[in-house]
This record gives sequence, C-alpha cells and structure tokens, in this order.
Amino acid sequence: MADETLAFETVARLASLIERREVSPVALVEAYLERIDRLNDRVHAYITVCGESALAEARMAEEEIASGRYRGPLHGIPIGLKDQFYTKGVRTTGGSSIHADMVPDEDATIVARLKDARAIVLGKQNMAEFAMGGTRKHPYGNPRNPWDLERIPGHSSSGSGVAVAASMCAAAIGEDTGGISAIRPTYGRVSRHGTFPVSWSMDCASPMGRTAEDCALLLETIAGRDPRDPTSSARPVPGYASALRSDIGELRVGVVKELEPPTSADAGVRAAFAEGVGVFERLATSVEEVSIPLIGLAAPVFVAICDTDGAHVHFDSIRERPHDYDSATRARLMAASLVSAGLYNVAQRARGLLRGQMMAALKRVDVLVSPMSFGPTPTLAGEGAVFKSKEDVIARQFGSRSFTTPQSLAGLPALTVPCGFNSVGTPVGLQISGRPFGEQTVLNAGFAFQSATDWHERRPEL
Amino acid sequence: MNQEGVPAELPADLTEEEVRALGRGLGLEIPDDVLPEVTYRYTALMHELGKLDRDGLTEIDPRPLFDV
Repeated sequence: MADETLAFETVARLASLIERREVSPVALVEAYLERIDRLNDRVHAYITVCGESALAEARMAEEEIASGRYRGPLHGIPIGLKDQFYTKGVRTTGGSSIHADMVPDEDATIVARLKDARAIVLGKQNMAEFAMGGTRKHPYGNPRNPWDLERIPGHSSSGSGVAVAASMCAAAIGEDTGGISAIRPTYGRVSRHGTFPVSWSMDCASPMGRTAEDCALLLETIAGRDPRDPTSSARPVPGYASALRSDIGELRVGVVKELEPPTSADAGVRAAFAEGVGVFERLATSVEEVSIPLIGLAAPVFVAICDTDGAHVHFDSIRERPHDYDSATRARLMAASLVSAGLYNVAQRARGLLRGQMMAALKRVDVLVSPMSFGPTPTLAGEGAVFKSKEDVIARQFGSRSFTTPQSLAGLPALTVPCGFNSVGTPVGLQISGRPFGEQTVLNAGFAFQSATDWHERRPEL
Repeated sequence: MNQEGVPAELPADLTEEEVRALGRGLGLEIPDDVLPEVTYRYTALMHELGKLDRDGLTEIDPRPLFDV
C-alpha cells in the first residue's frame, strides 16, 4: 500500500523530499497510480495512463538520485499532460475519437523539456474535443468536478484540472487556467511545437499545480526559444521559482472594473473575490479600480478569431466526417467556418484595441485582478444543453468566456489562484494578470497571496 | 466597407436557410441536426460584434500577433 498522503504534497515539497532521498519516486508514482485506479472511473481525468513506463522512469530516477546525479526539482516528480501535447510512442487523441489511435513519433517540445528534467509522465489527460471547449459527450468520459461530481470542472483542460485538484498527479500541463493554481504564460514564452493547434496566435501551454511556486517550477522548465516554433521568444528564461518573494509591498494592484462581480453574481463569488482583493489591500502598496472598456466584448472577439482559426484547421475533416465530431464541436466549427475575412479582420483590429487598453491599465498598475466567473459552476447537464436561441449563446457561451479571453487575445500572462468557494461549494479562482513577460511579477503576487491564505491547501473529499 | 476596410454594417439575423446557403457557398453542407444551433451561434456572433465601435477600429491595424 502506497503512502497516499504523499499525493497531496506540492511539487516543491516533494522535490525537497526526493533530493534528500526521504521519498522514493517509485513510492510516489505508486501512490498516484493507486489514486488514479480508484478515482478515474468517477472523474474521468485521464484518457491514457502510462503506469508501466511511469514506474520504469521512477526506478531510473531513483537509481540516478542514489548515485548522486540529481537533476533538479522535477527529477522524479509524477506529472500529467493534457492529451493535446504529442508524446512519442503514446497515443495522443486531442480528446477526439477521430485520433483514438494516433501515436506521435516525437514529443512536443515542452514534453521533451519535462523529460530532460526527469519529470515522470503518469499519463495523458482528458480534455475538450480538440481543445474547443463545451464538448457535450466526451469520447473518453465526461470529466467531473472533484468538488461536486455533477458539475463541470472547467473547459478545455478539464482533465488536467481534475487530476491536480483530486491529487491524481503532482502537477500538470494544460492549456488554460481554472480553479486550481495555474499560469498561462505570455504568448511566445513556451513553444507550441507538437501541440494540436486551435488558434496559432493564442495557443499556450500552461502549468497547473497546487501552488504558484509549483507553477513557477514547471514554467521555468518548459519555457524558452524553440527553433521549431518561430513564434517562440528568444528572451532568457528567469529562474522563476528561486526568485519568488512574498514581500509585494511595492506592488500596485488594479481591480478590473468591468469584471467586478455585480450584485447579481453568485454570493459566494462576490464574497470570495472581495476577500481576495482585501488580501492585496493588506499586502500591496495600492489597490485601485481600472477600466478596460472593451473587455465586455472580448468573448465574441475571441470566438471570431479562435474558432475561425480552429475551423480552418478542421475544415476538410468537418466537411468529410462531421458526425465524428461531438455535436457542440461540430456546430461551433461550422458556425466559425462562415466567418468572413472582413469580420476576422474586424476582430483582429478589436484585439489590437483591447490589448492597447490593457497595456494602458498596466502602466498605471503592475497587475490586474479579476474573478474567473460570476456564477456558480455549471452543472454537466446545464453546460451540455443545446443552444436554443441567439440570446442563449450570448448568455452562456460568451458570458462564461469573458474572464480569460482578454488575456488570451492580448497575449498577456495570467495566474489563477483559489480564493474561496462559491455558493455550490466549488472553488472560486482569482486571476492575476501582468505585462508581457511579466510572469515573475504575477507569480510573486500569487506566492504572496498563498503565503497569506490557505485556500490552495483545501482538497475535495473523494 | 469604409476606406480603412472595416465593414460598416454586419448582416441582420440570418435564417436557417440563409445560413445553410452560406455554408454551401463554401462547400460546407451543414447537417440538419446542427443547423439551428449553427444559426444561433453565427447570428449571436454577428450581433455581439455589431456592438463594436467601428469608428474606434479604423485607427488601428489588425494585430494577430504581438512582439515576442
């Protein structure tokens, strides 16, 4: 019987234990595999579990560390990967039955970097079909929120979020952020090579973990220039984790006026967000309201660009085999296929304008804070309901995507940390966004927040 | 179009048959089972993007990518 308590530890803590040889990577992998075996049928976090290879890699890590060849803080750490990232010799489905048997012959750059750091891949994690979000019937089982199994766990990177929250891995790489600790880096900070594409100008691998510190450890491992991705940045990659500091006394915090929870918002969200802002009022030098007027239209601008990019990727396939796609993905891609070049151009202009407004706000303050949602977490049934009108699309599809799409469009880094619970008992996320390549600043803000709170230590009973 | 290339107006709500025809013009046959939803999604997008202040967009270039 593996020591299950190990599964709840942070990467930083596990790394320290592994380096001192107080914890064996083999025991750690066994602990996670036991949890995966016990929980995966209930929460559908993983599509493919790599048990044998993970144990083999763990034994190798143990031998290397025992012989004095410790490689750093990810050595022997079991992680999961969203099934959007290519893994050599391991099937990579993109969350779709269309690629049920696709086995890449190379690793995505970020996967290769994690393997070079000797992280151990536990498996490939469930996701929205082709990362489009809103999938109604996942071919590998609908991911379920570990805090409430009848509710959704998020959108595109749902399986990775579930796996981290349910302690079915120490950390994960997804492609967006949610109710755990997760960082979406600046566009270009990480390579897109070997990633199922959705939108070439927005796709961005995102570390997910229990803490901002764990996100920092993963980000510094996967970030950096990749000749195989011409949009990756050549800027040097800082040692984010070693530079973390909880003293943010000089930090100026901006609360995004347009995303402040209104009186109609969920009471739990309002309370949690207010408390989160209150933490920064105690820690930072200033907290002020800032306005980004265009943010209210970020979701449709995002859809006009991201979905249209995705529709281009899938155009031949959606024409030839439409019924091999989930009905939501099918409708979404087909609607996006109809977007004209003129409208796409308008959306790109609006994107530039939105970025300008966000950058202007970030001249006044160092970080922007906002909630991840106004409402309680949707139920699986509610989220999967077919849209019944134009107004329904506006309320549900655009409404739920107003909170993270501004950062995606503007290519800005954003860290999410839990800051409380909503009225249905699922976590509320507080988003901290910063300037381009300002990952250290947002990570410091998150690290300070988590040094002053304990929301990130809560875990669901399963 | 105005001189900067920003469409002055977006089409009003389209019917299902108009959306089906739009698809056919692209070689895309929209199946009956998703035609209503495709129509809702497309018209919702038109409706929301119609709220953009077109005058404010004429001064800025389309920006698919920012400095990396």
